[in-house]
Amino acid sequence: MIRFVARRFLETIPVLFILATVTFFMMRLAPGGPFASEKQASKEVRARMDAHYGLDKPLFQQYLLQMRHLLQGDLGPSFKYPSRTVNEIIAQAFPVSAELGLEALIVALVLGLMAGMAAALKQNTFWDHFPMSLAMIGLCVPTFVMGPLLISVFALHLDWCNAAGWFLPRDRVLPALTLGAFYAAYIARLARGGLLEVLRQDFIRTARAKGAGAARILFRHALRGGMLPVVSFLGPAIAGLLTGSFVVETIFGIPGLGRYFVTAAFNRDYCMIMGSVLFYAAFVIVMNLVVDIVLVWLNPKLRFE
Amino acid sequence: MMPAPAPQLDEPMDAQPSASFWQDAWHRLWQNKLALFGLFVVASLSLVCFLAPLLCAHVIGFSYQEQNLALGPVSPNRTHWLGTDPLGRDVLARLLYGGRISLMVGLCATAVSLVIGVIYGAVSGFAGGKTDMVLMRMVDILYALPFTIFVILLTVFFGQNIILLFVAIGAVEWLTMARIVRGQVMAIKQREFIEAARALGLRRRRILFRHILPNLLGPIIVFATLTVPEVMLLEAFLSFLGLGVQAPHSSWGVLIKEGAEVMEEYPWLLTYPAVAMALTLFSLNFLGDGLRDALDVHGSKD
Repeated sequence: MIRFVARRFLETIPVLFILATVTFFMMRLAPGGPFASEKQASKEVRARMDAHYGLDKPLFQQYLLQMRHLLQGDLGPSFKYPSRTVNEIIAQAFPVSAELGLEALIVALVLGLMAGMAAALKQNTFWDHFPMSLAMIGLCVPTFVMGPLLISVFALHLDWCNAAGWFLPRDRVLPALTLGAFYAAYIARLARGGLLEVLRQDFIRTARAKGAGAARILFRHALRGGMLPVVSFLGPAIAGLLTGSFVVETIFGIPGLGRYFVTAAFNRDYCMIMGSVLFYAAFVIVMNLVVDIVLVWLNPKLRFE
Repeated sequence: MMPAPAPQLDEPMDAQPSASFWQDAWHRLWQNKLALFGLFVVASLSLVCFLAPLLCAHVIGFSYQEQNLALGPVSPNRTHWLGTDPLGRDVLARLLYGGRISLMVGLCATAVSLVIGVIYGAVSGFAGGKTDMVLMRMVDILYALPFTIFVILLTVFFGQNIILLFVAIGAVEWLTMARIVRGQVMAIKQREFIEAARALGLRRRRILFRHILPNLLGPIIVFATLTVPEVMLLEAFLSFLGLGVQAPHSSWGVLIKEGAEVMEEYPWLLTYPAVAMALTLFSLNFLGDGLRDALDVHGSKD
């Protein structure tokens, strides 16, 4: 297993390198630049700014320069927030997004797994149709409708919590629900499908014949195999959740990473785009590695290869 | 004595799954009332949206861009069945025109992702070996690219041109399709009838496109049905960012976004587009689930 992990980590290096290269040339080929929108700046000022950030050098030289900085772990300055580096911005905003993401993940796992298990155990009854209809709604309502709806009901009409902000523990509830709803719905469907597949198999019938109770069959026998689809989904899902959601952060006014990611792309904030891409990609890769390890642990038929 | 005529090698013997499979599938789909309901809703909504210009001219009586600033936003009434927006435009007309764009984006982007994904996955799975490894590594790399940033940069390239916009969406949505098709091709490649085709000396391209791909229709159809709602949600997300279709055009995503901003004052501006979109996504998902059961597809998305 150590060899497996080591090899996967080594494979990550070329992947990140290629991603950085693709990102670099893609954003440079896109029209506009970080200072193009600053109308009041005169030509000389803009030329000075370009020179200051090295944007006046030949493209390939810039590429080499940025690669060297990246190798040293330096993501560079932010063009939009000139006094801060990209490393600082990520270090400051990531904990916020990660906290929100973790809370949303808990919401998603608790709701999703409960709904999925109920539906699989009571297939074709009310306890199947009702949670699965809710899950379908969760999949079909865009986040930016879910958020305002929850705000309208729980903050404006019931007055249980604030409409926006990120100060009190109470402020975490609505964003976590909004962000977690879609994932809860997805997990519910995956868990139901996975469990149904397992519950059909012979060893479950054997367990039942030996007189094992429903709870024991579910938790001791079925859950391990039935969770495989959920675990595969969780890899990219966790990466997406923890690195922030633009929509939820905008609606609730949360100072997280998702907003920086998106505004960077709008502003052509080159270093910030590069930093976001690499940060997210590294996250996805690590999460996928963790998932692969968990999958082997859950399913003895698989081997590390 | 004349030699017996050589068997027509060109005629694929197993190009199509036997008709009874499709009849069977149709029968199973017919039993699934929820899926049929989905099919019915999607078909009728598509028809109504497709006929939007006719309906607006003769039934509703307002066009989607006809403003009436003096009127302002009014709740649903006898003249404006679904009310008007702050510019006094008829919500029903905008809903129908918006549906045209949303459905078109959904279908076209899915079609693009289908073509790329199927060909890419099929070639990768069929070729195997080094080619497969390189092609799949590229998919892995693209998977790690944050989708939002990628789409924003693409819209910068393509401007606000809606056709190119959904080509762009389709071009990033094909990754999962490619993976599914690759897995299926690798499984089918091992089967006897492919070995037979190879033994008969058929060319590789012919084996792939005439003998393997037809057997993948089931998973492809199912996955396509489930991709359409995803793309429509993505369109809504891009509208939220302000990267969707531009005024005075509308899409369900744009309408929902505008409605969500004024939901306290004029709730009907959010309700109707949101219901239309949720109903469509609901129906497509039910249809997709039904097709999955009917075609007995395993191991696709969930």
